[in-house]
Amino acid sequence: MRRALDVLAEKTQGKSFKTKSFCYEDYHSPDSIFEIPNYEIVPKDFGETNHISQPKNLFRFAQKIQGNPPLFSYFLDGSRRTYKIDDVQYGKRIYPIVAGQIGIGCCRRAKKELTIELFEQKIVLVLPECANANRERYFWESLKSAVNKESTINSKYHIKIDEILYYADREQEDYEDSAIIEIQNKMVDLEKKVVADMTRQRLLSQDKRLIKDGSLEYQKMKTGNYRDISKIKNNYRWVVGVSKKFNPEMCVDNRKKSIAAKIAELPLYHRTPAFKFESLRSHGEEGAVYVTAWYLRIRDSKYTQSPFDGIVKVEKILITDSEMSDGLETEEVDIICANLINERNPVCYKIDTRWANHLYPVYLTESFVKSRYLSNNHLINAL
Amino acid sequence: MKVIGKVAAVEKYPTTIDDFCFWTKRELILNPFDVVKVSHLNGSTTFGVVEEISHITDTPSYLTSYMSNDFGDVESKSLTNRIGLNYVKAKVVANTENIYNPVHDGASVSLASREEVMYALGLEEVENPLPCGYLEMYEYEEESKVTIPVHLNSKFLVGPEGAHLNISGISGLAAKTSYAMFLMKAIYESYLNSNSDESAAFVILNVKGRDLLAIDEINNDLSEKKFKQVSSLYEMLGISSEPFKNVKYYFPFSDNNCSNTYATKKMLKDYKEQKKGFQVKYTFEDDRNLLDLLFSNIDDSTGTMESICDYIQTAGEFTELRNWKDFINKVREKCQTGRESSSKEITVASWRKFYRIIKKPLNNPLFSNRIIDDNNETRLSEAIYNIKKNDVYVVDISKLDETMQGFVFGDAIRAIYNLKLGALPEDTQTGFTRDEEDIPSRIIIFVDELNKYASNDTPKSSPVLQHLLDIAERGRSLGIILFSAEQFKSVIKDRVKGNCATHAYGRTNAIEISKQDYRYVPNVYKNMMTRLKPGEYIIQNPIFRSLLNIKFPEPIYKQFK
Repeated sequence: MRRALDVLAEKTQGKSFKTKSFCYEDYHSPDSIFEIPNYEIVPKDFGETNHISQPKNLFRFAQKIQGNPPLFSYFLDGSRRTYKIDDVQYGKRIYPIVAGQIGIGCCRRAKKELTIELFEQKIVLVLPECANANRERYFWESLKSAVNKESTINSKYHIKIDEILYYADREQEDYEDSAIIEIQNKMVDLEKKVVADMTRQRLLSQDKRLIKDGSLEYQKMKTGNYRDISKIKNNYRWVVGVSKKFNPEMCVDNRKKSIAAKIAELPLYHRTPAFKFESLRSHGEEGAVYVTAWYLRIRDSKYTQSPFDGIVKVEKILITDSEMSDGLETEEVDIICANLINERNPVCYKIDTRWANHLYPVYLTESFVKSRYLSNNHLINAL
Repeated sequence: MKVIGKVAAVEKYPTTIDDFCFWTKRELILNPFDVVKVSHLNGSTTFGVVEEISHITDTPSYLTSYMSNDFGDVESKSLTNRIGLNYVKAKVVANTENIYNPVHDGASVSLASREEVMYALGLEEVENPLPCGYLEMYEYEEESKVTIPVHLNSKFLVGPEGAHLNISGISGLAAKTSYAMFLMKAIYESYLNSNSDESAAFVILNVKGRDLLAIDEINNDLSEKKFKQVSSLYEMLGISSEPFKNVKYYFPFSDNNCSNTYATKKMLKDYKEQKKGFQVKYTFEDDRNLLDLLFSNIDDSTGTMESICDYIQTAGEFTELRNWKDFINKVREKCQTGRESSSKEITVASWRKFYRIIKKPLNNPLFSNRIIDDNNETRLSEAIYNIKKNDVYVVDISKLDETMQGFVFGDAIRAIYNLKLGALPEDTQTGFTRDEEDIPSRIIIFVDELNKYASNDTPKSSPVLQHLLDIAERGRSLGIILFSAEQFKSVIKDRVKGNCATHAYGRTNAIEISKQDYRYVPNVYKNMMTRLKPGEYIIQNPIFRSLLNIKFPEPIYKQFK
């Protein structure tokens, strides 16, 4: 039996260069190519019912509810690891072939202990669109079957390719970035699938909410089962997005004025007012998707390295008509904040460099997902 | 059986032929000495004994823990527990197919069944089984809890394959005497009920109060419920819950001025009436050959005291004497300056030293002019020469001072030695003759506080030490078995403890376990030794594959509080 890359080259009638394989994440941060352009976020208005102008202290409220059952019972994290595995010549051009491992995990917390609720894992390959020379209808599916059946990847290494994706063949595009974006989009789609599954199973409720690691500003995608967020936003009624990292350049208020300085100076356990945004890139068939967002400091700045360490960006998709017109109830924003403040301990100091912005259950979920990855060497060797 | 965890072979701590680590949930309660099983190659099962249990979390440093409590707020609470687990180090003790390859990462670890535990520890099909206690495993897992009687091969305890037992532990907390009595009870019954030609007799030294002065009486202090509990344990071990039989008590003779025993007068009287209590006396004519035993703790590097003792045995001026008083006067004469010495080698200074040492002991009523048989008086050696199969002799030395204790103990072991060697003295009044077949094939002598007679500080010339060394080294073949106990094993002469096949460790203090003798014991077991409860022992015997943590039931005989 032949190696998977040989089967790929043969079936796509390309010429493999047997390029040295490597893992992209060993060389640069996985987030570096996904900064959201400023122009895609349109500030609209206040994102909460009470219009406050100053940071609000929520420590006392957090202390008051400390004995209550926590608001958040589920924690969702998606991650992916990408590999350059070969360069293949199609026509006169040379295209990279990229592989990816995608993992989505959702942990449930009960009696202070986390257990796995849902887990999705996929191994994907990304080829240029031109690999399908004759624009055959089921080309990618049959190519996947051929690789799994005719190469050693399954028979010898017991690895199964779950899907073959393709990236657009456009002028002046960095093909490798395009391929990685496809993997990223697949990961986002799987994240949405997990949320949809949880909603369908009625796992989420008012007192059993979900923290999703990262932004809820989903981009409308060209493919995928959950490509249009405007159609599935009801799944996000009990979901809060908490981002460890945000672009201070995009921290603007409802008048589009930068609030970066105010955020940096947020006192401990204070939050900013919530502002409503329309995400242009989420705009779908059901219309605009509004998100309310605010910033919350969970660690004292005297213990952190940069002014934005210790601050998390919190997002909530606005679902009902009243939410979309008036914003989220301020009481709701406060409850979410107070519960997030109470999530501040334990910390993952010295385990994760982003400890000041990390929430421990999310960190554990992320660690679980990463622990399920195949080793880089094993996967590269199998391909 | 219940799967409790999985083997983890990690870079820093790989699994080896000797041991492996596995993780469990942090709530799972295991104990050191518990047996676990792991599925292994060719369908075999590897058994391990738990040695160490550690708990880890993902906290990399104390600083992280401090920070996780709002930078040192002791009132701080968190909504999520840190991820944590217990990892357990187990020592490989057996494999069903004799495959000792390291167990594999990810292999399931389960609790073992009763039969599997017995197989793992080598407790199945023990030849010549002799109960030495019972072990309890998985105490906190109600469904899986296992209680197993533990049997020794008696040939490794009382010979001929291996012999002698040493028990060590803190006084009062280790229950050393109780354990020795429990084992002797087991041996006693095994010989009593056996059809073989082998037989046993016991000589027990009572060194504390009235501890062992009623071992043939039932313990009435136990409540009915407690008695039932204890009885059921004895029953499980195959031992009757009756006290010893054929017991004779030997008390040092006391007069109105000096009492040599903690036994009450009434007790003495009753025992005498029941023909089980005797008073021991030493007469000059018969026992002057024991004088050297008074010098057990005296450093006699030049051998002068020994020379004097020899001289007293042979010189006419001493052999013609009849009583201790004359003897003392004679010695006093020897101490006079300007008096011509009959033996040029022995100086007046040496006689004076001799006199100084013997003066006090010989004033004890134990040293009498004659023995009145009708008053149940006897010489200890004579009693021992007459010891019969299944006899239990209790010699009370608890109230005697250290020198006298050594003297009586020395007399006892010398008599046992002579009896087993067939070297009975001919010059005694009665002129002993014993049919060899009538002599018990095993005589077990139990002495507490062995450190008094065989410590590293005991003078090499000590006759008691010499006898003990002889018993330790030759006793196995002669049928003289030494059961000894002491607080600190580390101070006992290597030649004595090294010859013991079985070692029992009760509660031991922390300084003691830091000594060389305990170097081979894993750290966790050492620390366990400092916490053992009365009635709990860690034992080592050649037939066991590893150290065992056993328990034994409370004594069934009468206890004086």
